[in-house]
Amino acid sequence: MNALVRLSRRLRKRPGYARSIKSLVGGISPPLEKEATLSHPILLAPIAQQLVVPLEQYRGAIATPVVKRGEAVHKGQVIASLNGMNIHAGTSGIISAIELRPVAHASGLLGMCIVISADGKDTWHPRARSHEYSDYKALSPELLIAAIRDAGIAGLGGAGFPTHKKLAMQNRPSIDTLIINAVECEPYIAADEALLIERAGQVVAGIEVLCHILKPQQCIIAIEDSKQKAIERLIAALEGTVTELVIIPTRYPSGSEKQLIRILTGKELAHGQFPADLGIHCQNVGSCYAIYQAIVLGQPLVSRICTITGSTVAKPQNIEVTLGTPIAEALALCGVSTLAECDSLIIGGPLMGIEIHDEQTPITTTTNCVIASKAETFSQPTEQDCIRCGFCAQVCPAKLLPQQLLTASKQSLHDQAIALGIHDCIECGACNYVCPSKIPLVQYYRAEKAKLRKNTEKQQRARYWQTRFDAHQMRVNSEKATALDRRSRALSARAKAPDAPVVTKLYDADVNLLKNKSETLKAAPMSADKTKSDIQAALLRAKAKKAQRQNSTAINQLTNKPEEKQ
Amino acid sequence: MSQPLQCSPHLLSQASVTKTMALVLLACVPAYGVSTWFFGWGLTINAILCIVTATAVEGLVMKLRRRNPWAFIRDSSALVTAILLAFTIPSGAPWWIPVLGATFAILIGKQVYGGLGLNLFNPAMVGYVALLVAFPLQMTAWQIPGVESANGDYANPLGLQGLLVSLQLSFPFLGIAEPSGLYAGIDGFAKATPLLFHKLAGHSVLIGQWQTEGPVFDRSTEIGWEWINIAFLFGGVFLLFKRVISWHIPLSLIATVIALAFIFYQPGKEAVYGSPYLHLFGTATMIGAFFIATDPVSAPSSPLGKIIYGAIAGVLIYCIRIWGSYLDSVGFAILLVNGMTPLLDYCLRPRIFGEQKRSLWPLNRRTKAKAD
Repeated sequence: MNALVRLSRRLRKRPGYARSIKSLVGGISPPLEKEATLSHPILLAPIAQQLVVPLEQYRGAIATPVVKRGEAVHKGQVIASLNGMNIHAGTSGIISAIELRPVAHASGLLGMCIVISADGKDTWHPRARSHEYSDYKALSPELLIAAIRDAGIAGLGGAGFPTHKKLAMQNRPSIDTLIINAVECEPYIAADEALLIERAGQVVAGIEVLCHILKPQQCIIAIEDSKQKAIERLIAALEGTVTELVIIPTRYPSGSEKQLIRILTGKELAHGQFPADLGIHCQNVGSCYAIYQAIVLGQPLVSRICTITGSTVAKPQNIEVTLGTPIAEALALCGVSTLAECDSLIIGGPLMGIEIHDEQTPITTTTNCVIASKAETFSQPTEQDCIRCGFCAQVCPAKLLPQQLLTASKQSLHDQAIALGIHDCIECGACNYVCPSKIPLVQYYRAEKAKLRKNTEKQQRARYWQTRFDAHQMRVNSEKATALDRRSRALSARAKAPDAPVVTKLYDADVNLLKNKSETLKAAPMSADKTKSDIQAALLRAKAKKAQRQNSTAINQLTNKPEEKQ
Repeated sequence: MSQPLQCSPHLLSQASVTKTMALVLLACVPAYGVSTWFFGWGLTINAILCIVTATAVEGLVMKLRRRNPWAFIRDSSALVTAILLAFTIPSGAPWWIPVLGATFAILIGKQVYGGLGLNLFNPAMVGYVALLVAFPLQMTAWQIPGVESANGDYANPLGLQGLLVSLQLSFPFLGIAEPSGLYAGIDGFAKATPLLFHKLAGHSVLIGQWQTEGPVFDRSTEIGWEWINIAFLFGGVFLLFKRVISWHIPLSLIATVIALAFIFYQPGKEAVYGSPYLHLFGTATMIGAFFIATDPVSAPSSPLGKIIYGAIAGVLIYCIRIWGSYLDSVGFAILLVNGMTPLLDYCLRPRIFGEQKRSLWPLNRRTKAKAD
């Protein structure tokens, strides 16, 4: 049915339907729940009293602070840096602390953060808003990539991979396809959609910058067909550019990078492959907007658009919020009167987001959505037995067999889990969503992945220590051999000396013995047979000793008996 | 920290085991209606006996296993097993047949393996085959009360008299219906499945009736069987539409049966090999294809595995039916392919996203993964 609609639109030459696309493998269609937030314009959130900027960046890399406690900072000033990627102050104020604070992490552990107490003036750093890159067409891509790095742009879509690193993958084959991801397929999240509705022109300007850097043969912007308003704005904004709009069916998880690449190009990324290996580069629309800000306006990344929604939020809407704003402030802005009402706080979407305890957790570059809801909205019913219905396999976008994978994960059958492709699981949660038995499948996979990771680490460590031990053994043996060699040489030299004829014979025997010993040691420094025979000899010795001991105790007992009687 | 943090996904669909099972039960309703129309109250009595026994046994075993029996009775999987078993037991079988069958199905067919989702064989078919092997006489005599009584007047099997006769047949110790007339009626009109009838005649009664514009709802056993199969087909299509089952198994099973029936079809020798129509609608093929073989617990989970499974089941159904000594073969055939499920599941894993080609034998991948 949907295919027919698509075909008719394609034949009628409706914009966005020109490209023939592949359909998503598996996938689900949960209720979208995005209308409520999109009925309001993006609200510019006031600066909070205190901004908390976590130092932990992508995948556990920790940035180094370049400011000290008590230092005054301006908005846009560099406060920390990680290999050249800067983190900027979101407002002007004083660094009140650099300490452990709650951060958005599934573990619930604290992370090191820089705390800025705002002075309320919000004055920009004099060097922050230079327009030196505005005329970017005349500049080299390397210079622009460095500018993007300095602006501290990390993927605003999901994982938060530093954008400059992605752009600077020079050893890869040249990029021929640039894909701009505006799919945003997870329910509730509407930040990108709101951005496109209000600022499509700026996003397209950001895409132009990316096109200048990468010089791709084709540039595609993909969006789901449910986002009608954003599509209209995009069509208008894309007028006169080479960027092709592709409208794809609304289905979760179409927005996942691997899945989107397959939908648009038909190519599948193998395990461990990067999109750049296939000549593809993916960027999120939020990142494009940040690039526009960094290059055209010369403004570092200090704010983002975030969806605040959920059943306890009175005015669900999209807000443009300074990075580091505690979630509590953002919630208060959207009409959450008392935080006690919020039983569950989720950062990200309801299918892949993480639940957090502390409402003082700050909003970071990857926080695209905050869902504050009552406990019953996302209640997790008790797990029942698997009935092998196979719904999970039907919806898996990675074509795995989740039910067999569950058995392997539950029973820690590591080899089987790997053979079933546990490392290809993207943890999208589709299997979990459809499961009639309410089995927390993703949780089991995560546990299994953690076990596998631990095992690999253990093996690596063991291998490392094995090599060290082998090297040590070799060294010890060779030292022994050279010592014996030296001794035998010395002895034979002495034996040949004319003034010591009496002991010659004895010495000869000794020398031969020593020679043999050193040769055997040299020939097989780690000979297994020798170790085995050594062990056997030791065992025999131990046995003999034991027998002796038993004999002696028996004798003792015999001798003791009469004493006891007495 | 009032509650433990939950792991994603937080949003879950409304699907549940109970709902899935309820849809299967709903899909059985047309067949139940048709069966009752043609064969009287026998099925209802059998179904009640099966349900009560199955639920009781399920609860008892769960109690013995120290798990909450209500949680397991509520998922109504035992109910589905009981209903499917009841369909296979002839109307008018004595009360201990359904009771024994349901006990065997739940206890030996399911709980011995560890309960729901772990059984290797379809529990309803385990119960059915056990009964068929142990009590062949009771399991092949479809006794239809009151189609025509001995003295020639027509009696409605759904009427009070029919109910009483059905009860008398199920509970012979009751003595509520007049024995002499009753047995006279039954001896005269006990009929087996159309296959037996067919081995003597060999044509579709329903199509015959249609062609001659005769009464297609006339209470004759042969027409009844054909209508029940059409009702099961209808219920099966409903399940397909509701996505409770996938199309792979029913399609490959039915296609295989049709293909074999056409290959061996010899006009004039229908009495030996049967017509394709008879193989589809005169037998238990439809309930087998849509309700029994698609039981997810005992069927493979990969699409290719399902197609092969269905095809093997189809071949077995045809072979046992034609060259075997039992009249109908769906139960045996499906139990045999059930045993192949673990192998099919192991060997036929779908190509994982990003893999160049399917690795047919997963051991290769495993060793490769180890080598890496």
